Amino acid sequence: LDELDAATRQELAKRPDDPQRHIERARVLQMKGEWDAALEEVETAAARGGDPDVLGQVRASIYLDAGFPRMAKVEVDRVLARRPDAAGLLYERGRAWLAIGNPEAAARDFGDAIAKGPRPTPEQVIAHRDVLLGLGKKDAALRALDDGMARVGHVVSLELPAVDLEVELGRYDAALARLDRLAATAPPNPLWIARRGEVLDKAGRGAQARAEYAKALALIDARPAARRGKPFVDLKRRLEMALASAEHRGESR
Amino acid sequence: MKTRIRAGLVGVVTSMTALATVAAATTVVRGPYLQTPTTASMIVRWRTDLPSSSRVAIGPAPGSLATNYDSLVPVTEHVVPVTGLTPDTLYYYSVGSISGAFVGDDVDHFFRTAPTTGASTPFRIWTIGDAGFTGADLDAVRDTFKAYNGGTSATDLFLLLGDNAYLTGTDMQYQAAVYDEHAEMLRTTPVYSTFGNHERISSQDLAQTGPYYDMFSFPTLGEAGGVGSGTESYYSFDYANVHFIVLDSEDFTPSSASGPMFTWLQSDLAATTADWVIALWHRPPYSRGLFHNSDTELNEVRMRQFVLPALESVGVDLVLCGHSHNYERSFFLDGHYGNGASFTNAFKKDLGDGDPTGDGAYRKADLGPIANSGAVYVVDGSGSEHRNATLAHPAHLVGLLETGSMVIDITGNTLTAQFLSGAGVIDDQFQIVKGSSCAPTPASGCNTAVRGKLTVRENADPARSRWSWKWKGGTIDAADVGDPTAETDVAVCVYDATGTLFGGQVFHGGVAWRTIKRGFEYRDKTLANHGFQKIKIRTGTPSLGAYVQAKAKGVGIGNPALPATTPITAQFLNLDSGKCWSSEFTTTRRNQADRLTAVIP
Repeated sequence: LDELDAATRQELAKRPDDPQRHIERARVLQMKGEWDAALEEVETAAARGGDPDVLGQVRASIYLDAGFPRMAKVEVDRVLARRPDAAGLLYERGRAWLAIGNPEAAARDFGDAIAKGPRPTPEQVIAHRDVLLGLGKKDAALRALDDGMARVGHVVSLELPAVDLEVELGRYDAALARLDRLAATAPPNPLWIARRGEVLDKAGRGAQARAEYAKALALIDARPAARRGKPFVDLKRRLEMALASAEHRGESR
Repeated sequence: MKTRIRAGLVGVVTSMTALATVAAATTVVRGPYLQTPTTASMIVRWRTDLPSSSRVAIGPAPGSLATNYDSLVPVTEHVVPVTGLTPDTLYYYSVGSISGAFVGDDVDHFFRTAPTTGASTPFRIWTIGDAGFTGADLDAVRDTFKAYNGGTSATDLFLLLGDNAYLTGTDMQYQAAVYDEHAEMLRTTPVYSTFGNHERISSQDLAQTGPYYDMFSFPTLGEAGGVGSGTESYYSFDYANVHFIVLDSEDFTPSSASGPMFTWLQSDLAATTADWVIALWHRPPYSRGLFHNSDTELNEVRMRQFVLPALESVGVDLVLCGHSHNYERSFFLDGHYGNGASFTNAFKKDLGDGDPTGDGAYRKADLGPIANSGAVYVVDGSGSEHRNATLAHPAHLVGLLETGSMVIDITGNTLTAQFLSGAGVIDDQFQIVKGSSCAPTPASGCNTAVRGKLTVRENADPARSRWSWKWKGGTIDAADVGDPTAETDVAVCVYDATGTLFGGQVFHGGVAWRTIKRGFEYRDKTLANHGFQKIKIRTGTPSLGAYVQAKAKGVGIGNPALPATTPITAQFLNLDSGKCWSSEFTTTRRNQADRLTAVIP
C-alpha cells in the first residue's frame, strides 16, 4: 500500500486535473483506511468532472468500509435511481443493509445482484446463503444456492453446501441427485464419492453407503502409495471407519 | 468452405449490406489474442474500433483457411471459440467479419492446440510478473526471451503473474503494457493470468467486474481440464502432463481452511492425476522484497498458512508468484508455514541448488505428484523493473535484483526453469527430475577399474532373485562421490546391449544411508528402492582398496531378460555431478536364462 500510495501520488502530481487519477488515489486511500482523505479525493474528482455514477459507487464503497452503511446506502440509491441496470451496486447495497441490521433487505439485494449481475461469483452466492441461513430460512438458502448455480454453474463450492442443506432438511434423494450432477462435471473424485456414501448412510441405506465407501476407497487405493498425501490418508481413515461402522450396523440389524 | 455459426445468433443480422459497410472501415485495435487452449479448441479474441460481426477462419497454412467460425452479432469485443480441432496441431488463422478478414491469413498468425492431456509432449512456458511498466526494461525482457526462443515470440503458454498493467490495471494501461507490448506473442501463444493487487484497483474479484474480467476468457467450468470453479479469479487447467492451478491472493485469500476457493481447491487437487502440478498466484508466500515482507503482509501469511499445506499434501512441484519486484527462488521445500525466522534446514528436502550444472537437479521418486516431496517457490516479479531490497528470506536460495522473466521447459519427467535476465543472461536455473529409473543408455566417460564382477541369479520365486556387482582396482575421489547422506543422489544401473537390465536411482538422505570410513553405505532390509539391499562406496586409491559394491534382491529388481547380450555395463553414478564408475563386461563366464556371471579381468 505504501508503494501504491507513492505511485498514485506521483501520477496525480503529473495530471492533477484528471478525475480518474483522483479516483485511483481515493481507492488507495480507502485501502489504507484513510477514509476522510479518500472522500476528499472523491470530491476533488467530482469537481474535475468525474462520472457521478462512478463517484457514487466509490463513495458508497468508502462509506461501507468506514462503517457508515446508511450513508453508503444513500449513495447507492442515488446511483441506482439513475442507473437501475447497475446490478453490481445491488450487491453493495446488500452489504449496506446487512451492516444496518436489515438482513431481509440484504438478502433481497444479494439475490437481485446475483440474478442480474453480469458475472456473479460463488462468493456472492455463499454470502446470500449465509444471510438466509442467519434468518433461519433453510429452504430459501437452498433456493439461493440453486439460483446462484443457474448463473455461475454447478460448481463444487456451491453444490456441496447445497448437499449439506438437503441433508439437514432430510431430503436425501435430492442430496444424492446433486452429488450425481456434480460427479458428471469432472473425473471421479474420492471426496465426492465419500460424501455420497455419508448421505446414503444418513438416509439409512447401509448397503448402498458401504458400496460408495468401498468405491471411494478403491479410487484412493488405485493411486500409487506415494501419491496419497495427507488429505487422502485422512479420507481413507474416515472411509474405513465409516465402512466398519456401516458394516457393524448392518450386521446388528 | 465450412462455416460454423454460433448457436442462437443467426437471427440477429438484419442487413448484410450494412455489416459489410461497417466491416470495410473497421480496424483491429487489440489482438488477436488466444485463450483457454484445449486439445480440441481455442478461444480467439480481438477488439475492433467499430462494431462488426466476428469471423475466425482457420486452416493448415496461410492461403488455405477453409473453415470459418462466425458470430453475427455486431460487437467490438470479439470472443470466438474455435472448436472441433485436433490435439497438438498447428493452425493458421485470420480474424475479421463475415465480410472479410481484418488481419491474419499469414505466417504471423497461428496457434497450436494443446497436446493430448496426460501426454509427455515437451512444451515451453514463458512467464512474467509485475510487468506492468512500459519502457525499455519491459522491452528488453520481452526481446531477450524472443532471442532466447530462437528469434520467435511464439511458445506454448504465456503466464502473467499479476500486476500486468500499471498503475491501476485500467483498460488503457492493459492496452499499452500487455496488448501492444506483447502483440506478437499474444497472437500465437495462449495467455493465462492471475489477479494482482494493482488489478484490484480497477477490477473487483468479488463481483468479477472491471477491465480485467472484461478482457480475459479463462476456464470457469473445467473447460480445459480440472474441476470447475465458477469464477475467473481462480481456476485450473491441464496442459499435456501438467495440472495448473491459478489462485486469487487478493480478496479471496482464505482466512481459514474453508470458503469457496478453498472448497474448490480441495476437490480440484483430489481429482488431478497429472504428472506435474504447478500453482500460480500473485502474492508470494516467501519474500523479502521492497515493500513486501511475507512475514507481515496478511495475504501472504494466509496463503502460506492455508493454501500451501493443501498444495504440498498432493505434491505441488512449482509455485510461481510475483508482487515483489525482484527475483527470489527457494530451496526445494516442504512444510514451512511460519515466519522466516522459523525456517530451518529441516524444511529443505534437498540442500542443493537444483542446478543441473551446479550440484544437480532436484529429484522426486515418482513421475506423479508425491505428497510433501518438495516444491520450488519462485518470486518472478521483475518483469518490468527491479527494486533494491535485502532479499534475505531464509527459504530462498537465490535473490536477484535485476529485471527478467522465467522460461520453463517441461519434457516428460523433467522440468527445467531458468531466470532469463533483461540482459539476456541465464542468472539462475533449477531442474526437477521425476522418477527413479535408470537412464535408457549407459553414461559415458566413467571411471573404469581393472577388476569387476557381476552375478545374477533369477529364481522362479521372484522374491529369491538377486544380483550383485563389484567395481574394484580403480580410484574413487571422495569429492566426486559427494555425500549421499546429505544431498547427493546416486544410481546403480546395469545394462546389456539391448537396454536396461536392472538397477535404479537412490536418493539422498533417510535412515538407509550412513557414513563409513572413507565412504558411504546404504542398507535397506525393506528392499524398497529397486530391490537394493546394499550399496557401498569406499573412496581412495586401488592400494587403499577403493571399491563400489551393490547388492539387490527380491521382486524390486524386476524381471531382467536373461541371457543378456554383451557387452554388459554396470555403473554407479553420482546423479548430481554426473561422475560415474563403470565396469564393461565384454564376455561372460555363464549367461543362461536363470543366471549370469561376468568377471573382469
